[in-house]
Amino acid sequence: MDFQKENISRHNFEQCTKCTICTTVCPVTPINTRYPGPKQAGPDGERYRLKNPEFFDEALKYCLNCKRCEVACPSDVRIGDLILAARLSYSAHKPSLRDTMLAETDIMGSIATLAAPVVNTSLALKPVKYIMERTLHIDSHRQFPKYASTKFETWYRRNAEAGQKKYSRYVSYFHGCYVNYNYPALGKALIGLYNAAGIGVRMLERERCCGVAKIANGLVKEATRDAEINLTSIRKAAEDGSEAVVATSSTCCFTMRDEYEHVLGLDNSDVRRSITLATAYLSRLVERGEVKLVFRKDYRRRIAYHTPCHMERMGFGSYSVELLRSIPGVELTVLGPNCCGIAGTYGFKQENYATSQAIGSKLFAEIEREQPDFVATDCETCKWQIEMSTGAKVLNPIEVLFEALDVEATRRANNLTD
Amino acid sequence: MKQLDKHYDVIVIGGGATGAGTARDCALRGLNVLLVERFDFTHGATGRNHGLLHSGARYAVTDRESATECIEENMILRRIASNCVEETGGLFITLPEDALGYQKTFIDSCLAAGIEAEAIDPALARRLEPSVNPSLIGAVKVPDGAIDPFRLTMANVTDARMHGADILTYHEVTDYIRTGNRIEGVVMRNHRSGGEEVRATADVVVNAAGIWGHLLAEKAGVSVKMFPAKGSLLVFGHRVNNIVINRCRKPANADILVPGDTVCVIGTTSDRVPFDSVDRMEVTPDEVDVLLREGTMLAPSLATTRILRAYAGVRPLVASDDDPSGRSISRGIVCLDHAQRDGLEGFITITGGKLMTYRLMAEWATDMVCRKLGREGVKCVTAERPLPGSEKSEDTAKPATAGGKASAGRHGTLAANIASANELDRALVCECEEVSVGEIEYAIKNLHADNLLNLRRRTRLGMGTCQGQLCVCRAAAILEKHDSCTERHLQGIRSFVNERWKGMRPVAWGDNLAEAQFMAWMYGSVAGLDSLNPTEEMK
Amino acid sequence: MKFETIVTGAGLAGLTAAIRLAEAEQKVGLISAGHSALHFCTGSFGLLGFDSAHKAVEHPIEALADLADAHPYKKIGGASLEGLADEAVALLNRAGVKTAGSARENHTRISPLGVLRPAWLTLENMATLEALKSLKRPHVVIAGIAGFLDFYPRFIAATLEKEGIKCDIVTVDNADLRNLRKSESEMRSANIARVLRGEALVHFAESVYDAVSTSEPEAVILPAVVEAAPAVFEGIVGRKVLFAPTVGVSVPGIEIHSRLIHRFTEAGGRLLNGHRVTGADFDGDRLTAVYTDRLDDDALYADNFIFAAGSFFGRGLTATPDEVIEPVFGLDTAAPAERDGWFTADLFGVQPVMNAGVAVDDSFRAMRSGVPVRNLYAAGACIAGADSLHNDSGAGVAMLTALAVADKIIK
Repeated sequence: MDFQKENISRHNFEQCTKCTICTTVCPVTPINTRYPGPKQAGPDGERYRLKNPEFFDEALKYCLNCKRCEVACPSDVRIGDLILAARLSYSAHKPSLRDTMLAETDIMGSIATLAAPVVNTSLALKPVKYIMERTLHIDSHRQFPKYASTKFETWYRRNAEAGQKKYSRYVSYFHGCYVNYNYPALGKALIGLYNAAGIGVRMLERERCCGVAKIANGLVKEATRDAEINLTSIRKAAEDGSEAVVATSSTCCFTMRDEYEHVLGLDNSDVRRSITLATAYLSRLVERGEVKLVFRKDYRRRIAYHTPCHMERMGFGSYSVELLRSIPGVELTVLGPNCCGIAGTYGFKQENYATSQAIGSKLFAEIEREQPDFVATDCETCKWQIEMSTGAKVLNPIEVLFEALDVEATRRANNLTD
Repeated sequence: MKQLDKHYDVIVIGGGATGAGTARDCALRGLNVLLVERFDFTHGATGRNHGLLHSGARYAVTDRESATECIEENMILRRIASNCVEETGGLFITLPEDALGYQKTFIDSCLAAGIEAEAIDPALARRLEPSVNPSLIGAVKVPDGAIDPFRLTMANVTDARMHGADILTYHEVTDYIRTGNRIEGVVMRNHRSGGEEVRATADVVVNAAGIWGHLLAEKAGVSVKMFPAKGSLLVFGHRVNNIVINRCRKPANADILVPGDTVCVIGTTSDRVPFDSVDRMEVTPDEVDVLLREGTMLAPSLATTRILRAYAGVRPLVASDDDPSGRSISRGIVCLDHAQRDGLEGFITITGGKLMTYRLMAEWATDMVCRKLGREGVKCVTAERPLPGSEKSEDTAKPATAGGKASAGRHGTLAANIASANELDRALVCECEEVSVGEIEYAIKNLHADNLLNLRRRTRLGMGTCQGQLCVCRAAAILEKHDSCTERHLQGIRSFVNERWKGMRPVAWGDNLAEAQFMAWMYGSVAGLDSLNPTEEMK
Repeated sequence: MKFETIVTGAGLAGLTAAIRLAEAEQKVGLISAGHSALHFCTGSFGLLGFDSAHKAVEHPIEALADLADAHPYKKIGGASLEGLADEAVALLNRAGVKTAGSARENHTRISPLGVLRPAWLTLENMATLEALKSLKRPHVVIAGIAGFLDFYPRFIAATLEKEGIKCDIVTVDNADLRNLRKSESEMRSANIARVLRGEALVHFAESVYDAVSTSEPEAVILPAVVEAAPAVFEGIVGRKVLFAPTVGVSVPGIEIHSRLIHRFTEAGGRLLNGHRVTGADFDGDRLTAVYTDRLDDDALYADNFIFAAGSFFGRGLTATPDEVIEPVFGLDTAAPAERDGWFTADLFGVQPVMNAGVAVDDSFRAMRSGVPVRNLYAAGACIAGADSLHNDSGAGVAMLTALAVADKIIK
């Protein structure tokens, strides 16, 4: 028979065998009983929503979009996508001013970096935090990431751009909002690391926020507009000879690779493979012997690596882990598969604060038990959450690699003169 | 032997839509009624059809009379059984391989039968129903819909009981009490008490047993020549379409796709089968293949949509009295007064017809009963009076929980009687179909449910994607709490799972085979039911 | 990425083989496409519960001889089976999975619905019939949890009473449980276990104590919904605590799964979690690399591969309406030809299709186009001829074939 070779319906939800494994890994269900759980919110609910949209439940907003349900599902059901798509198509809830502020990272970031010292001080002030909590319902426990006084892009144009032309092979760097507005140091580390390995780092012609925060806050139109701008730039970069588009944020990378297609319905199949994580790209070159990394002999650190949820879903965890393990003086522990609870903008919302911290508690306890010199992770929001909740210092693996790198020896090993 | 004390005006045999409808009509007209069913309500053809609220358009060209009956009853059911009906609308589509010329004949015939039929642009049809075969070249809109036969039958039973009817399920009529040429009652076997004989007397006995009515008539010594026609159908995992899709051509195999509740159903095939097979219908691989091949012509995505199960029902085709060979089949309602026809007093057979015309059949049968009892004066009100659950409700508050919404969909205004005050009642037993503990308890107390199959028919327990992975044990434990029959309910789980397997088996490939293996493992080795000695199959 | 051995599938078979190889200091990649059937393991393992006529087996090692020649146990060979069974127990033990039971004599487990079943191994703190019969007085109290629908004290009691063990039934409730059951659908075993941690576990023990305090028995049977019951738990309850399985996802099963995963990574193994193998490179009769849906065109190379992706539920096999196939490598399958012959009417009887699987040679090397792939071994439920459901031998087939295959690779 020519029919029924496979059962792939919309969002493939019919592959669900109702085994309930997804409900055993959802970080939200044991903590927030208003959330119906991934099975009910996802494949079960979808059958009902197809019957009548009235069955949509606003409690789906409690989903973190961590996709741990998808990683655990033995039947390859895209449970998280189903839930997110349902929220985007059926929710009657309009994004509030607070949601929009949290989601519009580019606008907020551009304004804030112009007046960074003032903003940083005022965001940290108690009265300001009080007002934010009372009027915007942003939880007062939250420490807003500091804004940089110079955007990464500006720094790059002034200080790095010209030097990148001399590398025969190069990648395009999707720096993301965090590096651009808050933490240019990570971008600088990437350039230092890649350049030492003989790889140039250029910018995309136009970069907008990957869109993850807008998607999470229901701003589909705005997210799609940004995504299309990014995809256009990514295509242009590929045509121009860029070997890949690398991100240092696992969530930016994941959003562009998977959410663009699965949630926004954009066709990114022509460039999906070229969008990758900075550690993944580097790790593949090292394994193929195309690039050598030489590390400092005096570098001794105990590091605990936390796999961000979206990293877990991307399946790229082993790239970062293997690179960190390749540093001779590093003693690496991979922390258990637990969500930190922040989930991007989710944890910033006052109504989610308690849930967010309760979800992260297992991870925090493990970090406290391990007492590492620092935690490494590929996601900036995990970094904020872990730093706020445990006091441990958190670095991106790229920063760790650069910190441990013997730059001169690496340059020599890769036959770089001048 | 047990003799029921009460003497009834009328005994109705058959717990399908027709029998339940007749019992209700009789009760509403003030008669003393006993409704008897050999197993459970809707166990026969009522529980094994499309669930299509026919507009009559399908019959418009070939059978004007049926078409007119259908559209009239269609409009009545929308009023009286609103909770059982989904007003989806229907499309009759013409595909490139069909003659577009037929469309005009079709529309003319519909209009002549009183069925609104309007040709629409194929592009509009694609917008209205995105799942429709995009290569269609013509489309006609008709007032088809979906109807839930389980709910419809139970609403009739409930109303009959509210108006004084007595009801016996699992009582099979094995013989009649007769004096000379008069039937004065029935002899039954009670399947629930090890086959105890039970007798009940009445002035009139109505045979409303569908295809099994053939045998019941034979037992009474009269002959109603019926031919069993098997119709097979496939249930898909979710609603692919939200509008009924029909093929605009002469009625043929698998040319109707009906959305109903959480699923959609393609059907049917139509084949005459021997009488001795009517109690064990199996869907064959060939039938599955035909249904799929034709179904994908209506909605191409069926080719990759998971099929939950296959099932088959048996329509009673009635031979015209003047041609008992069966070549000339009457498709309409057949209501026989055996006194006039065969000289047997106190016995009526109501058969033929279809689910759509169950109410009209009940009305005819009840009219005849009233004539026999000399109570012609009482008017039939079933065309106006809403069924329980379908009354207009003043309460417009929507339930907050998923289970609450699903129960309200199933029980309409009666859902108010389902306990939902505390979380123990609201806990879900069946997650696919959102059946709560409260709803199970409600069915046990109010809807003649004391085994798992009863519960399935009353609530959709175990009818969803997984066909009963966990809900069955949960429901069995609730049943057991009520009657302490531990062994019976343990066996019940085994039997229920095998009943689900019967439907899954013809379509067990892909995800369904994964599901079946999971099921066999969970219930077989993990729960250990494979080492129970199977007892009698649950009905 | 390069490995010495890549194992596809992280169920009991894949994990066993992967742990064994990692412990032998191989660089092992374990590819896991979602969580496995171990999640439903009630805390007991079967080696051979029933013979081919579905008669309960008392002495599994002895009864193995009567199996059909196509059975994977027959390929391992009678002499090695007993040793491998002991090795399996030792491996579980090293992972912290403490069991009681022996391959030489089955004991009796209690199913979630109270049916008595033969078993090879049972977790130490689970209630077995033998454990209950060894109580000083044959009297227990079974404690259900209010609003938890997947534990059946009355069904279990009905069976135990027949065995001469008197059962009291009580219901436990407290604030933590009440809070969880506000959710209509999530008052399930694994969520209860995740709630009953730390202080909540102590509160739960106190609630159990309150519920059973007026009851005389020395032992209490609880649903297996706590992740690990430390001695202090028993101390608070004040009686011997035994656990009985629940229907559906099993907390002991999850516990076994995580301990095995931990053992694997602790031994240096690399887990590729949430990856689905989508393609492979062959060089003649050798498999050189596999690809996953997550890693684009990054090949995963290895000297040897183990295919342990399970049967239909595990998605190692699938069926179209016309045939049973192994969808990734295109391996040969042994299955009844026509769909008409796949099934029988009684789901609990023999279902020929459930006996289908990947065709292997005598060394468990998978066959492809009639030729064994030299470095691709099959382990566990994907192997043809192991009617594990019917024999209640799933765990035994998984572990013993995995160990047999790992030994071949090590040698």
